[in-house]
Amino acid sequence: MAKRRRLPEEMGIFGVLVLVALVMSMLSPEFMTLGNIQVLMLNGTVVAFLALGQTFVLLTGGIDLSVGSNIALTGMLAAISMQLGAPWWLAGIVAVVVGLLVGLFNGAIIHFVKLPPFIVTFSTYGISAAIPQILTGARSVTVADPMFAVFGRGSLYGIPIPVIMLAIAAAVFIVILRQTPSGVHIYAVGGNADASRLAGVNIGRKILMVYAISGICAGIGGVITTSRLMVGYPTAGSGNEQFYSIASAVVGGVSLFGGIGTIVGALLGAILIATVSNGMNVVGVDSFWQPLVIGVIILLGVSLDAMRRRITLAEGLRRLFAPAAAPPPLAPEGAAGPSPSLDSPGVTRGEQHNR
Amino acid sequence: MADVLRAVGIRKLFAGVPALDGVDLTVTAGKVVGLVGHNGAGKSTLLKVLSGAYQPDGGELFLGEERVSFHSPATAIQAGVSTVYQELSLLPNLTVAENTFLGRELRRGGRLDKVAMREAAQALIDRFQIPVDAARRVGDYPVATRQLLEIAIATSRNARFLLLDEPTTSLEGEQVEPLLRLVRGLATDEGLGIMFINHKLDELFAISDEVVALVNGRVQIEGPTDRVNRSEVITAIAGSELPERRVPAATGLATGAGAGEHAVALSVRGLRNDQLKGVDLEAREGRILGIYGLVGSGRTEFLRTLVGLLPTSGGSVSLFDRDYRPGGPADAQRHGVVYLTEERKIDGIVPGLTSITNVVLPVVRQYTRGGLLDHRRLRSVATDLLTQLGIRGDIHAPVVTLSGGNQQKVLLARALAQKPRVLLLDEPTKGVDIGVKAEIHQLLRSLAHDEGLAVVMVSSEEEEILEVADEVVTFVLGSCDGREVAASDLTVQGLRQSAWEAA
Repeated sequence: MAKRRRLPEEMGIFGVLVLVALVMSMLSPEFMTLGNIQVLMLNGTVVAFLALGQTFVLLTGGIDLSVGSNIALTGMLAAISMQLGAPWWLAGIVAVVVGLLVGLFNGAIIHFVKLPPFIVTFSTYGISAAIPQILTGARSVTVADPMFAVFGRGSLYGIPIPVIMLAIAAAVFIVILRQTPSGVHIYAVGGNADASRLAGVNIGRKILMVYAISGICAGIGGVITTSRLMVGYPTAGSGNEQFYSIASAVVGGVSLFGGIGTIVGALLGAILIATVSNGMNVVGVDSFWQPLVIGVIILLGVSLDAMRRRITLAEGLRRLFAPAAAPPPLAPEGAAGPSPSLDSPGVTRGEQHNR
Repeated sequence: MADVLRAVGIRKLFAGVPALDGVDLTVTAGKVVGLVGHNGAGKSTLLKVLSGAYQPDGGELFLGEERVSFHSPATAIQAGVSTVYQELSLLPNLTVAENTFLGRELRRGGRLDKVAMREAAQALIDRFQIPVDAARRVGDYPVATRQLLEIAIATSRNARFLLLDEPTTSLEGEQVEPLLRLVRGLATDEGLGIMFINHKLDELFAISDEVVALVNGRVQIEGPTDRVNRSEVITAIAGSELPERRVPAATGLATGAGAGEHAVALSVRGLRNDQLKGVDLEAREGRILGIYGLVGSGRTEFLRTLVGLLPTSGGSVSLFDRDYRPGGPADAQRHGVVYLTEERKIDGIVPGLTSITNVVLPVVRQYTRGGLLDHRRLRSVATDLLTQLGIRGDIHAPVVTLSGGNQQKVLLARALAQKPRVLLLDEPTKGVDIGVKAEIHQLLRSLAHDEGLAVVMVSSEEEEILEVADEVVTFVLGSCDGREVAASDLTVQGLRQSAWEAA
């Protein structure tokens, strides 16, 4: 039996991205300039980082609503630690470690107290939004060390450092999801947690891991945000980043119901969202329209996700995974004559389920 | 006012197979009809036809002299036929009064008349002497009390006939008595006509006026309780008209060696928890131990306890002469104990993953190089197992695209990938076609007899138990005495009898 090569699922979102880029470049000659592409990428990196972390969480069937304010918390703590005399690199580490701790906290409460991720991360959203404001009296903290700017403003061979960091992170995450036992387990937990537990998967460890990764991504997002502005704002990230990160992942094909999705998809989703908002700027659409347009994009993405789940599983998966031209990869006798009535009359089944 | 609910010549087919094959049954006001029958004899189907949940394919229903047809449970309730199912249906987060008046709330001036509802509900439950406060939430009361409330509230909707589906299954010894008293009182004092399905013959004979035994969708025995012979009932449900043939033990030469010569792999002594009331048994290397029992007798719970999915409250288990207390499936797996679930879709397959990934899911950690998955070896391990099991279908596609039988093979391959020493199988051929069933049976024999695994198999199908198992033990109401009978000495009838006699 030869392994069947299937079109990657990300082709769809990639097509949409190309289409949007074409439309934008037709509407405005400025769009396809190198300068604008750089701005687009740079503006998109924070959301993209959050989307990567969010992907891990969504794959287990969870959601992380705390990443937005985690940016403010970690970015502020980086600025404050430099104010207290820490070197620029240590400030970066502080931010990432704090992000990790917030994530571990989320994961621990979700797993051990058995609360819904929505509630837990919504609470930590509030907590981590308040801490920087309490610490500074809601004042911003200026970063004095120019070296810290490297995270957000530096570039290597013309490629912005944040974009390079994003590429490295994406590569590492792809390896984790595709090449390690943990990756298999994460998909399994999101696909069927009960079955995974029976198969011996340590669900708690996976839950801690995905929220920790999401927290680390938020910490890096905090570093980039503070570094680009060279000011720690206690209210950074509380706006669109949160919303857009989930949107990117979902638009990129990561299922809100767990078990389905890829890093590449989420990354393409983040680029699409960044392209749409950048394109609207360049074309000159009133900025008030942006959340509306992105909201509609999210609704479309989520509706598609919900619809593909609602189609009968076999049929839906066949449609999803099989290339349109190829015959459906179905078990021959699965499609053949219905013989189950011979060994399982309806009554017996019914009564057996009663246990 | 109608004083009888009559079913005449009721037929009901599922996929062309008759579940009810011309059943006549009369429920009379003021009387309790006890309905018994084996798994799949059609009891629940009959109940669902009478309650409007199923439409019969033939036959008629009468209320008194009037012909009726119940299009839905709601029509049946309106006509005065209420049903209490096995599962509790009251909402635990609402009060007793709110549950009583759910969907028909009393109003005064457009607002809920909470006082009137509470008083009416309290009057209702006081009449039945149920020690409950109507203003408190249903969830505050234990299951036994809720079961009484279910019945009381069911009668409150002007019910004249009450259908009860195994209401005592979830109750402990001393909790049964009040329920039986309530049911008896409803018939004698309130004049309700009651149909009572029960697996426990003692209870059934204690409270019913008439006994009806259903066998293969037909009424086999019916009559006043004092005239019906209990052992006749057991014989009937066990299937006296089944030919006295022994199912040939296809275990062949391997069964020649007595069970005693095989080393004990798993020894269970007095195992107890919420569902198990004391289980004793031994499973041996190289043997297949069949576990038989009625649905709900604790077989599944027993297997799940052995892999740490359910807690134990007493007794002991030893595995190869060492104390064995699994902390969960992963821990059980480390000890070589692997469980194959009965509910393939619920906690078996991970639908979106490929068959290959589903097979290796428990063992991926064992196939890594430098922390990274060794995809080539994983694929070959899975492919070898799946080929050996004769899988048909694309094993690189999501496992849900396979037929039920092939999904079951994937789960069996997953179990084998864990290299078990003790294999616990829960209905291993549930919902698979006959061809695959035979293949699975052959595999199980070879695993035990050739490879020396200790196999424990739960099955509701007598033929399967007799054909595959070497020895058989029976579970009754959550307990098992560990008395083994060689499968070759058993008949289908004898097996059923053993499950019913102790009931």
